[in-house]
Amino acid sequence: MSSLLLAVAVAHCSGNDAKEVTAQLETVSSWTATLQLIAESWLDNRVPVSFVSRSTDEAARRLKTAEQALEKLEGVPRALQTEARLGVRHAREAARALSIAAAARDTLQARAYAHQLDILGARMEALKKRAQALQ
Amino acid sequence: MKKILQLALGILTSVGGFFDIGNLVTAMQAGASFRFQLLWTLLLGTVICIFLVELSGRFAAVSQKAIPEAVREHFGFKVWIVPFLVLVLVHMMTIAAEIGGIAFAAQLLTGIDFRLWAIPAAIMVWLLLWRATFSGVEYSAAILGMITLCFVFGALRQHAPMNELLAGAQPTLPHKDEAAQYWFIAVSIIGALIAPYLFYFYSSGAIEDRWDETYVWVNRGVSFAGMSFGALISIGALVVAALVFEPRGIRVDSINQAALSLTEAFPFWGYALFALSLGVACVGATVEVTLSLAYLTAQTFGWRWRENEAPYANSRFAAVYTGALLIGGIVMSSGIDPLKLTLITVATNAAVLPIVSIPFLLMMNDRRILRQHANGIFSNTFMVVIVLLTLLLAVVSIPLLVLGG
Repeated sequence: MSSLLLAVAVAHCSGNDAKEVTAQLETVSSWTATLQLIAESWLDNRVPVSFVSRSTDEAARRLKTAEQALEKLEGVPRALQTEARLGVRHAREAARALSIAAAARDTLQARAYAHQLDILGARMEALKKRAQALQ
Repeated sequence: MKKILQLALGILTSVGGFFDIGNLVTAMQAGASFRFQLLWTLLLGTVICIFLVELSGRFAAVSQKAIPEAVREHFGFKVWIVPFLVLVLVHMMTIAAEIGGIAFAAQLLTGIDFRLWAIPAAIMVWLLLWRATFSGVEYSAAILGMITLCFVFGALRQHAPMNELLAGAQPTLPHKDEAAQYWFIAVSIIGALIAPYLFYFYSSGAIEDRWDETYVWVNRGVSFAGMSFGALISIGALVVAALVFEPRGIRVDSINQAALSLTEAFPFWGYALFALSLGVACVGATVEVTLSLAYLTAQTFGWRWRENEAPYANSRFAAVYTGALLIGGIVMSSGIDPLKLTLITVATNAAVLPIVSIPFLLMMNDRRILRQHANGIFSNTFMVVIVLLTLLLAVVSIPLLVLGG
C-alpha cells in the first residue's frame, strides 16, 4: 500500500526534479555501497583503521550534501523526499557507527553495520529505480 | 649496444611518465561507471599519444631543438606568448594535482591529513630536481614506476572477461540518460593521456640525452613500445575498477573509494600497493611536469636550460621549477580535493590540445629543418585528423565538465 501511495505521489514529480532526485539517489547508493565495502574490507583486515575513519567521515559528508540537495527539491512529492532523506540519514548514522566500531576493534558491531548497509543499499537502489521510471 | 640500452630504458621511463593521477582517476571512473564500454577511448588516446610523442622526439633528434624553442623562432615571440601563458596555467594545475596525489598517497599510508603532506611532497620533488641529473631523475622514476604494474596483475588475477574487453575496444554509444557523463569521461581520458607536458618533456629530454638523427629509430621504438606499455597500466586500472566497483554500483568520486580497488585482487597488500602506486606515479609525473614547465619557460624566453647541469649554471631554469613546486604545494595544502582538481585539469588539457597539435602539424613539414625526416602523406593525413579531433575536444570539454563532471 505504501509503495502504491509513493508511486502515485512520485507521478506528480516534475521531470527535472525527478532527474535531480535520481542523481542524488545515485550518489547515496554509491556511497552506501562504498561504506559496505569499507566495512567488509576492514573485517577482512584489508584496510587500516585510520582509513576507515577518514573514508567514513568523507562518506558522511557526501551523504549530508546529498541530503541537503534532496531537501531543496520543492517539486518532489513529500513521501519520496521523506523516504529518501530517511535512507540518507540512516546511511550517515551507519557511517559514524562503523567508524566508532572500527576504532574500538569491535568486529561484531561492524559486521552488524555492514549488514544494515546492505539492506539500506537495496532500499536506495529500489527507490532510485522508481525515481528513474518517472523521467 | 648503447642505443639498445637507451631503447630499453626509454620504454621503462615512458611507463613511469605515462601513468599519473589523471590517468588513474579517469580510467577508474570509466571502469566504475561504464564497465569496459570506454576502453576504446583509452586505445584511441594512446594511438594519438604515440604519434605525437614520436613527432616531438623526431623533431628534437633531427633539429636539436625542442618544440617551444622552434615555434618561438618560427612564428615569433608575440605569437607564441599567449599559447605559452595558457600552457603555463595548465602545467601549474597539473603540478598541483600531482602534488595532491603524492600527499593523498602519504595520507593513505600514514593516516595523517593530506594537507600536511603537500608542502613536504613539493620539497621532496624539489630536492630530487635540485640534486639529481636528468638521467638520474628519469631512471629512478622509471624503476619505481614499475610498481604501477600491480593494476595489470590485479586485472589478470581477477580474470577479466576477454570477450567483454574486446567489445569495449569498439566505440559504442551510451544510454541517453548517461550521455553527458559518458562523454565527459571519454574526453577526460583523452585529456589525461595527451597531456601537453608529455611532449615538451619528451622533446627536451631527447636533447638532454644528446639524441641526434641516428636516434630516430630509437625514438620510434620508445614512443611506440613505451606508450603502449604505459597504456596497459591504464587499461589495468580501468579493468580493476570495472570488476570491483561497477557490480556494486560504486562510482569513483573520491580517491578514498579508488583506494579499495586492489583489495580484492591482493587482499593483504592491495591497499598499500594502491597507495604506493599512486605516490610513485605522482612523484614521477610531478618531476616531469615541473621540468616540462621549466623547459617551456626557458625555451620561450631563450634562457639557458639543462637539468644535467648544476642549478647555479641555469639559475632562471631552476628558479622556475622551484617557484612552481612552491605554488603547487601551497595550493594543495589549502585542502583542495585532488580528485576534483584532477578532473578540472584533464578537461582543461583537452581544451588546450589545439595549442599542442597545430604547431606540430606546421613544424613537422618544415623541410629546411627536418630534411628527409619531415612528415610524409600518411603522417600529415593522420596529423590533420588529430588536429580536427583536438579542435572538437577543445569546444566540448568545458561544457561537458559542467554537464557531466
